[in-house]
Amino acid sequence: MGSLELRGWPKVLHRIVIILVIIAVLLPFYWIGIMSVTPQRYIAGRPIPSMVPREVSFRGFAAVLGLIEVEAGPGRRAAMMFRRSLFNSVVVAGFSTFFALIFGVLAAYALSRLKFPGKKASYIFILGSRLLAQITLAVPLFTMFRTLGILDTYLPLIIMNTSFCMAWVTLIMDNYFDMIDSEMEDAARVDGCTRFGAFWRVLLPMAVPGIISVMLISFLFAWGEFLYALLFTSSMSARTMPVVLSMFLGQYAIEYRLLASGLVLGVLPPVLLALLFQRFIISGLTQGGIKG
Amino acid sequence: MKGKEITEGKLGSIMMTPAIVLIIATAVIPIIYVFYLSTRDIRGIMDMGYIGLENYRTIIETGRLQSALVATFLFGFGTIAFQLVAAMIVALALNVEFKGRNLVRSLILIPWAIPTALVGVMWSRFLASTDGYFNATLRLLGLVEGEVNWFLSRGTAIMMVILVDSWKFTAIFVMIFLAGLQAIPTTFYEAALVDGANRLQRFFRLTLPIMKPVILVALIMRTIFVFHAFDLIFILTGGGPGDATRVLSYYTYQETFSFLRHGRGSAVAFILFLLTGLVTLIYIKILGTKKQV
Repeated sequence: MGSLELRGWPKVLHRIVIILVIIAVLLPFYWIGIMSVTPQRYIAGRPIPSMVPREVSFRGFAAVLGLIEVEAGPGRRAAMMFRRSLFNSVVVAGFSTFFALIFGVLAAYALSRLKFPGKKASYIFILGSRLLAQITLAVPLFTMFRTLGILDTYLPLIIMNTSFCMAWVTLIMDNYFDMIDSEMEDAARVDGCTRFGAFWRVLLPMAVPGIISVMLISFLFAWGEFLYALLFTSSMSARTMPVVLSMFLGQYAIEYRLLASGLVLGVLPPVLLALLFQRFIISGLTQGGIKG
Repeated sequence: MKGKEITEGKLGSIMMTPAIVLIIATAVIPIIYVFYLSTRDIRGIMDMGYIGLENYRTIIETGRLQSALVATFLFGFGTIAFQLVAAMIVALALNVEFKGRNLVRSLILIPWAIPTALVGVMWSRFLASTDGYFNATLRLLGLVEGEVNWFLSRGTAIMMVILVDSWKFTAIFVMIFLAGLQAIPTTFYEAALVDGANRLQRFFRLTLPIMKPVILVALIMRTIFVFHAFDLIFILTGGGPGDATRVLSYYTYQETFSFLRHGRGSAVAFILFLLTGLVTLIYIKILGTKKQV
């Protein structure tokens, strides 16, 4: 470790940097927190909205989650849309992560351990597909999905999230497999195990930490994917949470409390995952590839 | 070895197939199709036929492509420069032992983990001119007065998009730099101390040169992802004011999905593809594909 002891003014400077970082990260969450529990009148239209929570109540959360009835009007519809979108996001992110893991890990094993025709081309295709901007593919995909008649269903979102996440899974796991010595697999093969058996029963159990990290990274991506969810859905039936929350923004009739409660709920799963599995995420990010 | 076991080449091809099929269907064919569409005159749902490179000429002659390139460059340069410097400072700070270091390391990962669209929604509320918390806090500190609308002037709009982008993405640079810094053996620094090098000299003569490859990788990756930026711009500015934040990706979206000119939009998309491809080629050239098959 390259850490040297700090004394005197460098130490003061160091602490200032650290404190600024903490403030920069946490202050926005504090603001969202206040907004989610404070009635509209303390915030809306005020040059200095309340900086501390007032008349704290969790009505916003209860309303958004459908635990209490919201008076008729835009708020009611918004709360309903949000609940449905949360469900849609879970479905889309769950299936995408699952398929991305299967396809990606298989491809990664082939790239890492096997010689086969077209290997280099496969690698470049996968790397290249990950680097394409989503919008470049939007028009043809839109046409394709329309022809297939699957617009406004989960399918286009699951297909596209699987495709993008799979590329990360492949690249990160390929690196990960390369770091594991193939000695154990060779030994298993001598004992009569098939190649696939050696992969399945010997290598995979050793690669669990890597698999956890790609699983988290895939889930976080699919949970937050916005562009395709925006373009390929047109009703509540498949719209995901980020799209619905972005739609709330334009509707001034919606109480800030509802918007902020929705934000807190949408942000909670990624925040918890980041805090609980910090190590896995960081190792995945720094080893195999860099997410944008 | 058992005779009936399938050959290595065959197994490799089989295991690779699902991934390759998916990529051909969702990336390769669409890209070819984008090029095809870009040579056609499409308005709404009417396809008026092949017009060669006319769409490319139109987007250049109207100056829209150039302005999108300028916006992309300003946004890209701003985000990368700001995040690079900020991340280096934070990474150096986190490379020192102190109480609560692990906690701070976890904290900075949080903004990265949040969906970009939600980051946009949050900050759009904070940056609201009257009752936004960001402005209110600046007002309390006496830094601004009255109503502030950051999205009215070009300069501040770009600045705010860069700021919000950095709030989310600086963590990536920090993680990569920190991993790089921790790989530098302490003995290097001890030798430098013996030579009497001061802190700044140690950073510029020792740390920075060693970190050069790490910085380069991060730089190229982020450059590619600058072309991807869409969510924040869609939510915060909608490309405005004027065309100040209408970066290539947003311009593609606007031509195709707002103006419904799929042909022209596809021309922009194809140019975006070529640019991303160019940066990717540079990336592969400099860093090499890891595999020599």
